[in-house]
Amino acid sequence: MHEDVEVLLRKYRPVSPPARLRDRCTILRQTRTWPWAVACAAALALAVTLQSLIQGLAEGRSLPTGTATEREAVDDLAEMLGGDAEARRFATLAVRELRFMAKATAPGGNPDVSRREQ
Amino acid sequence: MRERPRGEDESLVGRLYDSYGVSLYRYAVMLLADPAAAEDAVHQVFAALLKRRADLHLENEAHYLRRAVRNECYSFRRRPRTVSSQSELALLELLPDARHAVSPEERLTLEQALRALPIEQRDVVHLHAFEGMTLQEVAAVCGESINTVASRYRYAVARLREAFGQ
Repeated sequence: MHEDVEVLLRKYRPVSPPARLRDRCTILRQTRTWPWAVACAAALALAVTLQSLIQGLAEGRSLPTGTATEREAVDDLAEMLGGDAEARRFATLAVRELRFMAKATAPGGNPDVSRREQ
Repeated sequence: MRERPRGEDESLVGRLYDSYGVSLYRYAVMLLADPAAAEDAVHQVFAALLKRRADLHLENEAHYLRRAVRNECYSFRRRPRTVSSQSELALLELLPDARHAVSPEERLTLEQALRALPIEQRDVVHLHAFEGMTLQEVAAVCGESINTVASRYRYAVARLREAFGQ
């Protein structure tokens, strides 16, 4: 006859954790994940800059693609995203993409831009 | 509020794990009836602690951590998921000082019966039978009335007895 189940339960306990769990729980991994708030801020900054560029082109101003302007945009965005090498790479690509998008969406085209494209 | 260096956070969290990690994992195993999922649940709780760079002061550490693991396990149960093959890993181990040998079949029957219980009943069984809490203390942890936890425990034990033909 089996022991009463309450007596049986007192002979056991739930299993112990594997040794790896301590490391999983106590070491902050340096994996690259963009905090969502920073990603949203970066997207907003890009959108605002793009709108400003398009507006400037519509008003006949030249596309401000001077090296210093782009460098400043890259610096600001890289800093917002963490400031490391990977953040800078992403920022550089994003600003370049922004420039191409601004040219592509400029209403009627811009002679300065056309000349640069050639 | 001063943000501590990352290494300092990790050693604080390490102290919390060393103090409570094993019992939290055992609680999660019973709640989820799945050791692999329990590992993930406990990890989630401690990962959240590691991210709290500015403030790791906990009023009542044991209570806070148990509650966090409990909430994580109940949330996990509500998420749509596929049944993992790892859910058939052993749930129980014999206590070091268990005097009588028990058959593997007995342990398997007990584990199977525990898996079949609703999470709320496993919760009460774990806190009362495995952690030795009074039903009053269990009620406080579960946020339920003592009558509710007593009923859950009674129903759980009745179902476990049925599994053994008692």
